[in-house]
Amino acid sequence: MTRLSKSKFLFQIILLAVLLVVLVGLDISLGTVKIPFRSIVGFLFSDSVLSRQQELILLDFRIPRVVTALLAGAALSVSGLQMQTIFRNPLAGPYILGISSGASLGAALVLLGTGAMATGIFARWGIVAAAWIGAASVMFILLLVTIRIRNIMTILILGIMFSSGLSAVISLMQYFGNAAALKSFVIWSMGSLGAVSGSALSVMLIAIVPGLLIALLSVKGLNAMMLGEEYAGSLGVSVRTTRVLVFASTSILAGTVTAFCGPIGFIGIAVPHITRFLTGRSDMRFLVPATLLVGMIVLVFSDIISQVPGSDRILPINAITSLIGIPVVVWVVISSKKLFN
Amino acid sequence: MGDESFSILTFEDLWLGYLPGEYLLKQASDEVRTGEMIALAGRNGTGKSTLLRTIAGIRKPARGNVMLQQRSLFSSPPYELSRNISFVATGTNLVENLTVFEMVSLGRHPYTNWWGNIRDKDRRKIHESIHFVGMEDFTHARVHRLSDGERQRVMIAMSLAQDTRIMILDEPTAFLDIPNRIGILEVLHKLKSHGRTVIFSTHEFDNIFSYADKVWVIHEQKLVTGAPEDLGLIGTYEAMFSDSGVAFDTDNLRFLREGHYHRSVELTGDGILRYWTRRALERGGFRVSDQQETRGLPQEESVEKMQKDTGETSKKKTGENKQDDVAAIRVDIDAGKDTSAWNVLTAGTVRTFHTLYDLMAFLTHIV
Repeated sequence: MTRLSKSKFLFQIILLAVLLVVLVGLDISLGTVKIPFRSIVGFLFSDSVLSRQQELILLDFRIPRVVTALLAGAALSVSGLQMQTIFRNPLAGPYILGISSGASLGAALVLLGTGAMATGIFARWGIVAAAWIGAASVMFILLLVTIRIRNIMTILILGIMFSSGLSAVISLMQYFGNAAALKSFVIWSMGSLGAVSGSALSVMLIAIVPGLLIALLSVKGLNAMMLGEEYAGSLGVSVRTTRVLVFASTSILAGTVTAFCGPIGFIGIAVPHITRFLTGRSDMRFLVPATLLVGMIVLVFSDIISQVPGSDRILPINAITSLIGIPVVVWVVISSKKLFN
Repeated sequence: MGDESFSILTFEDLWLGYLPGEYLLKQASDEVRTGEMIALAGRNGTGKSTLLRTIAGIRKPARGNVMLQQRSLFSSPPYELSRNISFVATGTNLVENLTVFEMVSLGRHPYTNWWGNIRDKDRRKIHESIHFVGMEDFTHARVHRLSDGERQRVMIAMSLAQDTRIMILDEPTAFLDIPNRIGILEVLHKLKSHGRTVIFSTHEFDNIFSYADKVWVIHEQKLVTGAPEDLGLIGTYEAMFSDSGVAFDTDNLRFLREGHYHRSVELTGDGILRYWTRRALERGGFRVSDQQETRGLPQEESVEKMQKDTGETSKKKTGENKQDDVAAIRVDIDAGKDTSAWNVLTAGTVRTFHTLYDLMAFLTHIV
């Protein structure tokens, strides 16, 4: 980056951060019980200006929920950006290529296999580990396929088939599971940002932060990979190391989010494009942090929408993110010359 | 760069192939010297790109080794390799939204830290490289908005920013128009005078004969090397195309269509008019018997000379052609002050034409 673009970069990042803070504030204060924004700020910086009830809602529900949204938004969008870069495919993403389904299958195996017992911290890690393994397996198969097949559309169709196949396996498993296991699985699979709290949230945090750090470590490699593996290699970038880093990071990020919040679609594929469009950049040193922020913004925004301000209904988050993400994907498909080359 | 004939890259008994037992290239050996410009030629699918990738250290050979000053490319750490050899692949990689500066700065990767931070020294090198390829006015332009020629310059600038002693380019002039092609080759040639070693593949023979110090030709799984003219002398270019319906005319460094010349025409006149008339006639499938050059030579030799000129080698054809060969058609160029005319003498009548287009329309019609 030249000096000029470096300061512009900082300006854009600050702007995104400010927007994020505003949305987080809104997300916390809105809901069935309205908590004025001013009292929240007061609560954070001085002693209680809130009623006991408001304080409970804030600490037990609103804050864990918004932290979950922040983590999931960052994780899904960064994993999408990484996938789009190493597959050199603008339509890659954890959901559309079946990484999330792989994670779902892993989680389903644990949930349906152990019955309703999956509630303690040990079981939490069990689900997360199974989701990682599921995500990593799909990622691995995709990497093997892309060595042979370069065509973007072919890989995409294979990914969708894969994802549908895994869903079919999961529904068969549901058919054979017992009633209690089924119930806990169905609740999980509906996906929600509100279901993660307490110990589960700390597990999610412990898993996602390293995943994001690995993504930041692979920024230089990702930049070179934009040009293709051949160029990356001749620029002295170890293609294998970059692949392994991205592989690990994507599996951890997408796997963890799926394990805790259920499948959340279209954030991974759409957010990198929204970020590129908003900032006009492709340099990964900029794009990775910016995508992370935009991912948080989009998911917190989706969360606000899902609570239908002014009512006490909560809509499924997956539906909201799909409705936001799909138009972006359609726009990418229509406007990208690359897809048809 | 003191020692000009310093050998920098060598390979010996190199075998290349994708399948076990099937080789594209066998027993290739050569030595590359500092400051040389080497052109690689060969028919499609003979392994030009594979050879370039191998000597760039990107893919391993089936057998043999490539040495960068006594050290194998394949046992050097990647960063060391990337500081010595850069590679530009065919075509250009379109990365949307990257500026020329950002794209070229990727070439500094071997020198930057884990984050790819650009320091002042790198920045200077990047600007120098952009300037070198004449793209300074486009420094902050987005690469996907550039033309093919401009993009190719950016790719070369990126490779320049890598600051390597050896630059390897796979068909850098493919898809470019003539001014862009010459422009790219001039840039590469200028690099040579800066002590860089440039190795590039091409299908265009005028590139080779105008710029290369050395040529590598892959033919029948062998690597033939030498000065471009050396290979002309030993008939490598003719051999390259011997089975393809194309003949290489060593006198004019031109390709001729074999089996295309079925009628002879006697042509009088000289200078530029003669040159263009001859080209038109040859395009239309007429062999031109050289009135001036053949004057005074016995008939037999003249026929032989004609065949050599046009790359016509089939002896059988000579017999068949003999009947109509005896100057059944004659074209006289009437060079006027403002306009010129072509008089065609055939079957005892004379017709006059004022453009080569009309002349060719008539000749093609009567044949």
